[in-house]
Amino acid sequence: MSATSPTEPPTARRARTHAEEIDAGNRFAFGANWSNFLARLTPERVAEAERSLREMLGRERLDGVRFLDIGSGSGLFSLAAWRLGASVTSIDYDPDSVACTQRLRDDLGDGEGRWDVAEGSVLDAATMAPLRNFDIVYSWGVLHHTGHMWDAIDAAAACTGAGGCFFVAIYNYQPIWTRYYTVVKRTYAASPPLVQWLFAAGYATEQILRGLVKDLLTLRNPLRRYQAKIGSRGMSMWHDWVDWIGGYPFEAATPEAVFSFVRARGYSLERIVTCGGGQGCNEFVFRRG
Amino acid sequence: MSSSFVVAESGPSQGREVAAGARFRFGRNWARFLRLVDDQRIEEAERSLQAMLGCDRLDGKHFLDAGCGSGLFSLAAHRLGATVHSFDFDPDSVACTRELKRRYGQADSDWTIEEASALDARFMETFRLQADIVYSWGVLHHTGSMWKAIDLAASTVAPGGQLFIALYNRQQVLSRWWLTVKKTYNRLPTGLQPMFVFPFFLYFTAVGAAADLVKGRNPVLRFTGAGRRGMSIYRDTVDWVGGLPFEVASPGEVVAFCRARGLDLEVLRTVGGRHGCNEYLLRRLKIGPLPGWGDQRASQ
Repeated sequence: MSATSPTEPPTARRARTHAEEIDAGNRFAFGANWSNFLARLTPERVAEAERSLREMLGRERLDGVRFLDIGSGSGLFSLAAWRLGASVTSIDYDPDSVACTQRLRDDLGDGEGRWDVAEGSVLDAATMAPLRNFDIVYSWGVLHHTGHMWDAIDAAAACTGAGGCFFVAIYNYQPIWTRYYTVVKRTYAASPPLVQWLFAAGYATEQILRGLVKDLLTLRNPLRRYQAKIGSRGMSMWHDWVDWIGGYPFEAATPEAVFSFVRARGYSLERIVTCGGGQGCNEFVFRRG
Repeated sequence: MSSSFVVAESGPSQGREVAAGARFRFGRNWARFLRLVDDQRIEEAERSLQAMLGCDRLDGKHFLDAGCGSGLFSLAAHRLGATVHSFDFDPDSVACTRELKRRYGQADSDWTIEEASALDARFMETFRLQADIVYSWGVLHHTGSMWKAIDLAASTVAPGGQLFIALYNRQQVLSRWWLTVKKTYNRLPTGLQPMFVFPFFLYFTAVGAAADLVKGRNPVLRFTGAGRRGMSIYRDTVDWVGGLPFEVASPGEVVAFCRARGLDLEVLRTVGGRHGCNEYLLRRLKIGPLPGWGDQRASQ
């Protein structure tokens, strides 16, 4: 884990496009995974996404709020924020994700003009320069996939206006597992589709067995976790697993590393949800000023 | 400020709780730690305070040590120039702290030591908004009423002052297992208790040594208290295995609870999901309440 500050301007490393990174086997096709998820989007999932936003942000409605979704992915949380009344700007680096979000906007959002969707990288200074003074900047499980996590956190936080909230989720750093998964994910990204599917199936099997053992040890019904059908935050279990095993570039940080980095930029911590030291994201809500 | 001998009148007494097997004799463990205390451990304790508080000296600061235990950190604060007020619920801990003051304290110093409970609202009220630094490391989760204890400790922090607390990390499944271990320890006859602790001591020592070797550190160093606040590995293991009452908290719960009481998180150190203490340094802002959404726990 390195808590380095940016040493070169973010624009300097925009040498390759998204497509080039994918072709070179250096990037997981996040958006393709999300468009697959979209086909199974239900009202319950949307409601769950809204609930998770309301709970973390501590408010029932977002009327009149300017909401920036950095790395909108499927677009589910942009949709949730839009439905809660916010004016939403969604950006993503992955063209498939942008298409997903646009489709959600066109199908489920209406033509009020409260929701902009654009393709852009958080590491690109030209993209980010006009994105200022947002009331809420939301970036969930995104910035650790940019290849330059600390620069990305810095750039995302800077979009928050005075008194605004920066809501970010970053993979938890684990001394051994983080290194192990970096290798697994790098291999996945460089493998042909069949091998990738085997990777995902293997990981899913591991997760299912792990859940089974845990449920049996704690005397819970092992089927219950699958009957709910809706994962946390309205996401699908399988697509989350594929995203996890394939998700590359990949970085991670301890809760204190993220906290002290953002705090040093003039933010106070309003809320933190840690993943208990395990694999997954730590969530933070910071307030600027 | 009251320096009289205040003891919770209606609250449970330490002796009664111990007799019922509901409380570990923390102070007796610290009394055994005292013979290990030397200049090296005291300096290590001073360094740990300086590092977390981000300052070299504490001159002119009113330092409230809630649950002083061995008294090592009261002594460290005293040596760094603070006006120290130490208290503990356990009479043996109070005696330990008095002994450290006798051995190392400066004669003309301002260092008060008394027996009192962090759950005694009347006692805590005497410090209301007065302490520059409230220090309570690994204590409040042993009161039997952790959130009330945090609330009272927070109420003593002066505007602009700091609260430095360490609380056991919440673990999904393991916390329950540790509670069983602690209950078992406290039900055992005194003679058998060291035998019960020993396997844990061996295990923690082996894991610690392995981690040191992997990271290229000298595994012997941790036995001198280096890098572990001057504390003894064996005494800490006894404290961990026996430490009852026992509660745990996640960082999220602590931050929300303290923020609702006007305290802003400055420094966080987690144990990375393992068992042990997460450390929090929080500051009461000089101006008005913090923006927030109220206390999450009060509604539960």
